[in-house]
Amino acid sequence: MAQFYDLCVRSPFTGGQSSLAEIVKAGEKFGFSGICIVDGFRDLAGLGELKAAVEKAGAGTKLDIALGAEIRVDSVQELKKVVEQVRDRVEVLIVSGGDYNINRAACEDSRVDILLHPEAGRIDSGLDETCAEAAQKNSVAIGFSFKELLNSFRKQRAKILESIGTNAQLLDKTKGMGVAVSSASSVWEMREPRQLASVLTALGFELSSALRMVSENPVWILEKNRKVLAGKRITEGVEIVG
Amino acid sequence: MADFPEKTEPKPNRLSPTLRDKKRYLAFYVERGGEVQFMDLLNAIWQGILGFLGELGTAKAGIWILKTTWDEQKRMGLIKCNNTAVEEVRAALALVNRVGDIPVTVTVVGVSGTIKGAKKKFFGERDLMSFAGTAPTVVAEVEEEAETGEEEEGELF
Repeated sequence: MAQFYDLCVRSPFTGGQSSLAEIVKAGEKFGFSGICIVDGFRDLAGLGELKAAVEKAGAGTKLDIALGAEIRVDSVQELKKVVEQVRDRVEVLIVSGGDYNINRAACEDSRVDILLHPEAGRIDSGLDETCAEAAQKNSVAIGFSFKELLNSFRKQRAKILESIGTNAQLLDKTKGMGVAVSSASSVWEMREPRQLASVLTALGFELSSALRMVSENPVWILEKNRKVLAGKRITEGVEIVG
Repeated sequence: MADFPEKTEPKPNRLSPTLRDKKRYLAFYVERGGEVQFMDLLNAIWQGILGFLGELGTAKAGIWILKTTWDEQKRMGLIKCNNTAVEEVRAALALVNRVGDIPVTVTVVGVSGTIKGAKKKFFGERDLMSFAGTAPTVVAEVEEEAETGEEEEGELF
């Protein structure tokens, strides 16, 4: 049976409106195998506080709960500095896109797991072939955020849909990896995995690749990072077995 | 003089099966953050679908919300659409997030080819045939109760 993961649900500590217990309950109800609670990174103390809360929330549930960090920065230098600080402390590292330089730097950094909504606040899609090829080479997934669609209307939503369609074509051409996430700040913004896949299908993705974006790709990212954090994965292609 | 029934409006004949669109019925479940009237919900769903698919897309998808199938207790209903538009309708329903000021989520429980099938599968509706195998057990339970003299209110009927 397929495992479904939502790799970006915002924590109540940094802007989220639902408690961890509510998020866990909704995740179980929507049929997820696991979710990643994401901290809008401020400092290491805040991250530690969330880690303790996530461990506590995950104790009484079958849901696989991971800890992630979402980085929002204004410059490439700052991005590199924060990635260096956070990488060894979280299971999923997400960079919030929008600025082209940030998008490109994230695609070229193999420590980054997901570049989220590269099209945010732009009139273009935020990615070009150079970025998409770099992302493919460095195993950086392009994240499609459902929340951006949910909270936009008419012209703005049409623009986002167009940009996602363009990025879908780029991913298809470069054989890159995509991930569909809800980016939910509250349980009312969470959706079941099949619906996340359907939105992508309506934008031109094949159903099989859309489903991969909520199941195989997130699972691969989580497993890879858990191996690295446990010291079992030394580098690309080198793992300690047994 | 005998009353004759009023002459009904003439209707076109049904299209032949090859010309008819193949339809599907999506069973949806509504989770809500407060009290929501069904008509408001209906409007929100129509707005969501029209907003996402547009008027032309909605027409091509052959969408119809079956009001009579709405179950207030289970908060479930059926939407009819063409078989080619199932994914689009599912996506459009995912984008419905508010009825007035009340947050809602509309989840697709499943898809069926007939209303009857959808009601059986997703609404838990049963017809007489489904009781065929259970009848002897019910009789046996009644007999057992009569022997022991125990009565439980409203358990069997």
